Amino acid sequence: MFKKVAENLKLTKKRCARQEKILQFATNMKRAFQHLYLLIITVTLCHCKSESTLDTYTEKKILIIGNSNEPAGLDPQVVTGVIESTILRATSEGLCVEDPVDASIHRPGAAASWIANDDFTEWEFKLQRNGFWSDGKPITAQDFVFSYHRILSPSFGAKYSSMLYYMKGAEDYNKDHRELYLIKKSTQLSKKWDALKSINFRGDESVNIKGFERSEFSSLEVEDKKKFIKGNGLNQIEKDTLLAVKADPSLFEWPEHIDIKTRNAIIDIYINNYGKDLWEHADVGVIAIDDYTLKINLRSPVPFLPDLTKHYTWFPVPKHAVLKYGTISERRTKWTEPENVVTNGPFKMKTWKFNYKIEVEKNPFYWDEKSVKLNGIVFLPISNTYTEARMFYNDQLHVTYTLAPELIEYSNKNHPKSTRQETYLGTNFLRFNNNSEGLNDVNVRKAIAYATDSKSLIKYVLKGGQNAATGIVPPMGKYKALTKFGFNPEKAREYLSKTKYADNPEDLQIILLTTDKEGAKTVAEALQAMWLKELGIDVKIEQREWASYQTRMSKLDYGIATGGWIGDYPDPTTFLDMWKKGDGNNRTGWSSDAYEEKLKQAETTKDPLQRIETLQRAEAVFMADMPIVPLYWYSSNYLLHESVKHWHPMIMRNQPYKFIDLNK
Amino acid sequence: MKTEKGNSLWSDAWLRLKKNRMAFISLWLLIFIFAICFILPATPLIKSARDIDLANSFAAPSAQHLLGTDQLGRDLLSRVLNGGQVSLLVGLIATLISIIIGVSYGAISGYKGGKIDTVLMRIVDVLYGLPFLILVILFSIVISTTAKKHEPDLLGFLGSEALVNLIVNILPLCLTIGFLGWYTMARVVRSQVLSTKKLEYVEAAVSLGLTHKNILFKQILPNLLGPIIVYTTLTIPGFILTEATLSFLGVGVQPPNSSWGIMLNEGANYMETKPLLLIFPSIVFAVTLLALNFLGDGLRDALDPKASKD
Amino acid sequence: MLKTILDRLIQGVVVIACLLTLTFFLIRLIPGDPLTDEKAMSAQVRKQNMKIFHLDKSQPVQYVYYWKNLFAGEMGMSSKKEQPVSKIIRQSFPVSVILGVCGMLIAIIIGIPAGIIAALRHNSAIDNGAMFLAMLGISIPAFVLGPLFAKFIATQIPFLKVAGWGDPFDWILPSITLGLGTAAYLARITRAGMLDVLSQDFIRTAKAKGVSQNGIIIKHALKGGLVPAIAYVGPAFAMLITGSFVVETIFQVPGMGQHFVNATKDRDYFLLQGMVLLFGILIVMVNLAADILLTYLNPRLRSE
Repeated sequence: MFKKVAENLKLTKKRCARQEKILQFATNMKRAFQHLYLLIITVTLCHCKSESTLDTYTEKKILIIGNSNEPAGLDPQVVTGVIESTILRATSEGLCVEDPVDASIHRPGAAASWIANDDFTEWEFKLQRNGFWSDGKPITAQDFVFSYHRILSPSFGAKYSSMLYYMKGAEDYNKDHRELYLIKKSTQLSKKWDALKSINFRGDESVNIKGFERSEFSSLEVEDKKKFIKGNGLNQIEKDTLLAVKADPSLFEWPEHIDIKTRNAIIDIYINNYGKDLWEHADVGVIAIDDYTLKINLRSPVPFLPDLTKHYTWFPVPKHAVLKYGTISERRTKWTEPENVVTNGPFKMKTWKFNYKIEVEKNPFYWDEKSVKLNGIVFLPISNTYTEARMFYNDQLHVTYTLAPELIEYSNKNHPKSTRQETYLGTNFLRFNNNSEGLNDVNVRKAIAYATDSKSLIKYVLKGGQNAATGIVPPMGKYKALTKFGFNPEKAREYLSKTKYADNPEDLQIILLTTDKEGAKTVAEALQAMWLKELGIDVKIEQREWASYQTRMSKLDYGIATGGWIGDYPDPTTFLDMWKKGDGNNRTGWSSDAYEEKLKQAETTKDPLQRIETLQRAEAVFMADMPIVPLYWYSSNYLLHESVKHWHPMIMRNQPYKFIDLNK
Repeated sequence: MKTEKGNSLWSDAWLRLKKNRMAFISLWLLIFIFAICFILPATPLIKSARDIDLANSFAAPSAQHLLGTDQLGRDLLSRVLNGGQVSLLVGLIATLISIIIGVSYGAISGYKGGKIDTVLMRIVDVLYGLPFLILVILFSIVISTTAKKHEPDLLGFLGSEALVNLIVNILPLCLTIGFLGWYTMARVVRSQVLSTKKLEYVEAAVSLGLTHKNILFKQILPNLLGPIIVYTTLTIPGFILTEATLSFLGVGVQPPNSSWGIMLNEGANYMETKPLLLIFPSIVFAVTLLALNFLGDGLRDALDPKASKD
Repeated sequence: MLKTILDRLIQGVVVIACLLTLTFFLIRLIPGDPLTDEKAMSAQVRKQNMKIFHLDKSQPVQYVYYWKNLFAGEMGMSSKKEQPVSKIIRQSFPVSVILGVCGMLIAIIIGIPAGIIAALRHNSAIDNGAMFLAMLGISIPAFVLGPLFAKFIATQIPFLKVAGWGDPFDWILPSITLGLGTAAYLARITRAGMLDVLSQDFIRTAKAKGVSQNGIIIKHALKGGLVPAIAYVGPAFAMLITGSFVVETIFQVPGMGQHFVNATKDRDYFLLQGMVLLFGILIVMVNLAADILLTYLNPRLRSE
């Protein structure tokens, strides 16, 4: 009995303890919730205070820009894209700067003034006396020489170095044509140069070394060794391979007339200079006359050099900062880390968080600091264009990167003052695989080209106010295409009737290669329907993801492929040079001697007007062969908040940020 | 003979399914959806899904176009029905493949147990971790090049271009999704087999010396049907949407073929401006999935071996 | 138990090694390489770049080089972004964890109770209604749900943004978008699991004995009925953390999901390798945790 009571008591106690525990837990929870409330309230308050609508940013004069994607870096000599360009042009500055209103005017940038000789081959730039890097060190002509040396340095591997090939000697140095310096200029061999020219220095591209180009040389069979050396040429082989050639001359196809002594001498020179930077010997046309005078010698007349200097490949990099973290030809050193990077533009780097935002702030050392009106810019990598538009409508952005075609009409109706539509220097086109069955016939190409109704495509599908292209080069300055090309179904059928497919167009088996970019599929479907309707040609669409699409295009594994080109600088050559034979961007299998002859002729023409005319004739040659179908000239559609002032239409979307202001 | 037997699992299940009203309605609804997706487009009642009329894009529903037209002026009804063919085929074939692989793999793994189980399940872990996109790109290259190579033979054999198009374009996609989508099924089946194996009657069957085949198919499999059916009703919508994602990454069905997933994705972009382009495919898609789901639940209940004791 | 865990961890290391190896060779099998670009480069520049990214050697050599570096704690450079992979992961992983955990919480809070209630009221209006909603949740994909939320909810509530990732309020919509689909799956799976257990003999006996329904659920049914749900939660959690590509792009969330897809698309070998490594670790850990929990709930699952 007693025991039971005791047990009961114990139980009650236990229960009490448990209840107490529960109570305690409850109070704890309550407290926790109170804390949570507090937290929420504080966060809300903070939210109201710091994070806020666009107006506060406008008041603080901080511009918020949608920038489509994450940049590939901040080194102007490494990157290649538009996304990087929009950021780099805020933080860095070339010799000349765009005028916000008149594209033909060049404003002083890092250079205060410049003069050119009569035929535009020699230019002298006077740098700003009060030009400083963002760390306060002066910007000198040596910085520019260093920069151009760096981007052209063969071992640096800058993907966009060809932008500087206008400079004398730049291409040879960048492509490491070392025989020009080591042999042609050497004291002992220069006299024999004419006899030595025939040596395979630069490699024979026709030799297929794909199978073993990545293998160790010493592990190769003798035949493969020979192929390997022949394919690469003396300029590109490693030291151990050079030694092997010296030990066994039969590995290399020496021209008969060169004696063993000379052969050895050549190899010795190559071995002694292996891995050495030959800048000193290359005589590239960039010279620092004094700290503030830069002289640039060009290989041919380039009246548009000031335009080129606005491109980021021509921007200077700080010698002292680059060398602090590595050597001149080292890529990806720590100097471009956001905390280390030193620049010369109106703004300097503040923070960079991946896929989140990049912030730049006003650079106090900028030479023209007083005319910079903004205190900072925030770049948001918004890849989803619909998200970007929603953010703009919700007052989270000042400027969007683009505007989806689906939303153009809607924006025009609901945000008429913010919706912008401007010309953009670029051409959208279809490449023909000129080597493929059927499309190797110019009449088939022309039939398809004339059956392409780009005006309808623009009106109903793209909706962005693009212009139907009549040629590959969009109109710029005094340049206007000579040929008039456009949708003409009768002409198209006439061309088709001249081919063997006249009666059986369905026999033409063509693949239309396109990619996964926004809207690409719709365009492809519209084109497919047009050609079926006008010509009875039923192409097969193959949509491939970006890298596969690029690879197939390079391998000429397609019939027709969608594509486009954005001008790097406002000169027709930026659209014409790519169609030369062997150019990596050609990708059509088309080439023409007459065309290249015209281009070469233009290159040496001093008179700007005459030069333009020659280029127009080159385009006419191109269009007569119709290796591509020009579809439309781009326009840029985007949203711009009314508070942004001094934002003017720029055909290259290269808005000079220093003139922009924010005002409610 | 069969009717006399009466008590077999299947006829029992059929009787029970008929009693479940929701499931029965769903069954007829699904048959209806299948019928209109696969039969109607072949008749002259429906316009071709390929007839583009740019000037007539975004037309409102009318007698001409019952659901209106899309961004290229194509008949939306026809697009929805044609898209349904692709989506239903992808959903069903891919699911079937994933069930066949997943169930046998999971059953073997769970039934054998021990080291074999460990190795098999770790292989699943590895496969699960591989980036989906790489495998899809590889698969579609391998399968579609093979399919393309045999395209002329197929055309001679089948005689119908539409059928060949189906096989060359959509089958590779079904295979890819199915081959890459069985991992979870294997895991589900394995854990079910593991726990069923230890049930008294199965252990009794083992001690009685019944064959493995008998134990697996007669004793264990009936217990698996429920989870397999439920998981299948979840897999089908998943696969249909996977197809849309793949198409948007440029590795899915090739235009002008379309699918519900693609139409939803494109429609989402017109949410602000032309909501009908989103709403119509959404309704058909949701109704199909709901029907599938209720049918699946009905089947699950009907096939539950434990329920038969009621 | 400890031995089992240790065993599983060792297996986990093998799994990850296989995973990395397979990824390494498979990504090199598909067309394109890290230097594939819209603008072509000259052969010389291309060759130099191959050297810079250590792609100039044969694949076995590259493979050995990769492991050597990995053991030295070096994950390599992203070829697309020219940034250390470790830095990219350090910045995006925490974001993904927040998004994944919030999404999972939402999925569990909505999905499991809904599934349990539906099972208890089997074939009733509540059951049908809950499953109707669940199926709706599955059939509205994130790429539709996200914009709907952004357009109709974010614009109405002052402290919500249509996209962006600044303060905890920005976690709400992406988490819900991410979690709802999983919630729907969980509800369906929980319901099925519960139904399975509820129809088993021992529950029937307990019911017959007059044990109250709540008692049964807590004592028996939940233990067995949640097994499939937990088996599903493990891998689903790993997927939520790394596979939130769509939600990330819709709501502008700086997480890992985008890197996972883009690394493949850009053929960014080292970044992909880093992402796969992280995903592999996650998979091993969550599966281990789920299995431990499962054996605890259901001793029959112990395989030996």
